[in-house]
Amino acid sequence: MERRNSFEELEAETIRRYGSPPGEISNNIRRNIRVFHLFGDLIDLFFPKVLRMFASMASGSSDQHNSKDHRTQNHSKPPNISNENL
Amino acid sequence: MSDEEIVQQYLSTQKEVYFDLLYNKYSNKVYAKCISLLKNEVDASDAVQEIFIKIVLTLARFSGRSKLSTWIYAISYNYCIDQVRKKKKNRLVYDEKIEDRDVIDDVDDSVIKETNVKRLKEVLDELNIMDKSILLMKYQDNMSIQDISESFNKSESAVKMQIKRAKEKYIKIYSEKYSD
Repeated sequence: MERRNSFEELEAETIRRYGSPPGEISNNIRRNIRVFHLFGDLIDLFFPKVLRMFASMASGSSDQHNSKDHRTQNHSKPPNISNENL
Repeated sequence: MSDEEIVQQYLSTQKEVYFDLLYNKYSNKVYAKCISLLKNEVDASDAVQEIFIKIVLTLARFSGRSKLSTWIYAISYNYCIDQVRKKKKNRLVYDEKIEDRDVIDDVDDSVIKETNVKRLKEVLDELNIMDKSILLMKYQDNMSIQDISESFNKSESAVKMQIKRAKEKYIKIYSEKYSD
């Protein structure tokens, strides 16, 4: 025979008496979770870019600078127009 | 669907339907514990909100070593203990240096477990939050000594000592109140 456990009876009685938490609590939790997810997504989106920016600032060069160099190089090279291509 | 499957599904899809399953399954018990420990429905409602947000945010850290219910209740007890502590702004028995030695517990569990429910509630309400929590964890949630020690980040012998002291205090208060 299973022995009595007053602690479990007390818990059951408390649940019977007070029931569920107020309905707005679950809505508040869902709203908070959505906000946290939004923050998480924003961090996922922008954090690597910010990190790259700081890294390039620390190393004294930037992607922008590099890409400008690359562009300049391309522009400095005249298009290959020769009689053979014409 | 088992608790572990719900957790896995929630973590991989982030769909609210899996959160709802957890909330519907555990919110009543968490709410009852919060009312029992905080003794106030408004504070208990706020506590349920904070506890479930914490559960969702730390769900990825749930290792599955203990049952999900044990993990959820541990978060609930710790939250309520912190709240009471903040209100009282004093140090509880929780932080007492407890000797790390073998503990001989000579109070029979049935003496406490088979108390009349009304009296049980009255005596528990006179214990401090830590003693009350540790008795609820052991006898209401049937948590193992190992689970309780992990919940409070204490050694198992420290938890055994805490339980022993809580039971002794319970018997003392009970005897004083109902010495008929």
